[in-house]
Amino acid sequence: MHFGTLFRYLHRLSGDPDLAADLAQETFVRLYQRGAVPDDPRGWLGAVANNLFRDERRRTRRRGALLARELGYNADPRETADITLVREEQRGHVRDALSSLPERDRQILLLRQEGFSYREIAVAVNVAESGVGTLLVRAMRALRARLTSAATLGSVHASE
Amino acid sequence: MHLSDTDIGVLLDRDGDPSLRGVLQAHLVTCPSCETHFTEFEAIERLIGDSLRATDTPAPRLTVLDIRAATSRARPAGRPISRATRIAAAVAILTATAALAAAAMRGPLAGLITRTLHATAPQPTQRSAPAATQARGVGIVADSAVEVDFRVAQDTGEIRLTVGSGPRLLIQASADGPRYVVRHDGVAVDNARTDHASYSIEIPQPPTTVTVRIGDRTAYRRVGTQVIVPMSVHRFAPQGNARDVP
Repeated sequence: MHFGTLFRYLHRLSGDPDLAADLAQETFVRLYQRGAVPDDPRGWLGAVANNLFRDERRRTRRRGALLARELGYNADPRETADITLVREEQRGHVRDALSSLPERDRQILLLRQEGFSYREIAVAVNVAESGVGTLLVRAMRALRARLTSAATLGSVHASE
Repeated sequence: MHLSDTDIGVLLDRDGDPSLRGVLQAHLVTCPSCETHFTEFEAIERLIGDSLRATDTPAPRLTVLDIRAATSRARPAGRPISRATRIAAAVAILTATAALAAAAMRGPLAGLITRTLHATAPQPTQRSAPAATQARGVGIVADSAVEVDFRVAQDTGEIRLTVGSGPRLLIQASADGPRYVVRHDGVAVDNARTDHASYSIEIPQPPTTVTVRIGDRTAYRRVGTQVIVPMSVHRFAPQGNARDVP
């Protein structure tokens, strides 16, 4: 796993680029200190990163729901202004919904986005490999429910 | 009979059993309801990826401020080594090991670390909004270091340090001194020989990310104009373990 991949995962998980950089660095320092390649390197790195994030949040009481905070939007130059606005609004809803999910669901979805296999996800979040597919589907279903709920609320507010 | 969550999970598994996936895919062909259902999950995955990529930021360099100064710091026998120093030393060794290993060993760990280092190109954070000046007191004792990381070169950045009741020290970002190291991307102050020093840190309008670390604690952090961690008063034990002063 590249440092950049781990940083991106932690950034998406925490919403804090500085914290993500610190934790990603600490994760790789621990890999070095371990002295040997783990059986499943990506899963091991993911598990260490998750543990460090959990410890950090517990210690400093950082709020994990920071995904929606804008850190700079990478607009596609081919999009018109109107489309960009609509798309960004939609993306914001998705990030809000993601940040409202339980931590394990969020971790599974984010690790999946980083290309982790089911086996690697299982190691990273400490669940049985045979259950990852089901957990992934349920996490996506929970996300969809939140998106649907947000859309319904939005339409109610719009009609008021 | 429709697909269960487990079945959909199998279909989404890129590395799953091909024969089992084949059976389930055959079902999708004959069952429009399941096909629609499964397509929704694929769409959700694409939606997540698209939404997250829009706010991704480049990864920073894998580095620790002034590794050389931290690792070469002289310490009396028996004094415990701080966590920050251990991390600095580990990363320094990590860097050297990766370079040597990539050239000579080509082993799996070397390859992993080498890929990691090579994947982290320098990407300075760009912020244009001006920030308000922050000046607060920080109490620290010996065996701590103050690091101010500007992340990008600063032409006007400076740090004012008041040591006890002594004269005010002004460190420009372009000068070097015997007890601190100034680089283009920050300042490291070696506090090992100063007992109970009081530092007043003033950072005039750095337009980018500013992080003040004392030992292994972040005492202050600002991204652009947004203060993520406000400056507070800390007291650090000689072992480097930090605790807040009530």
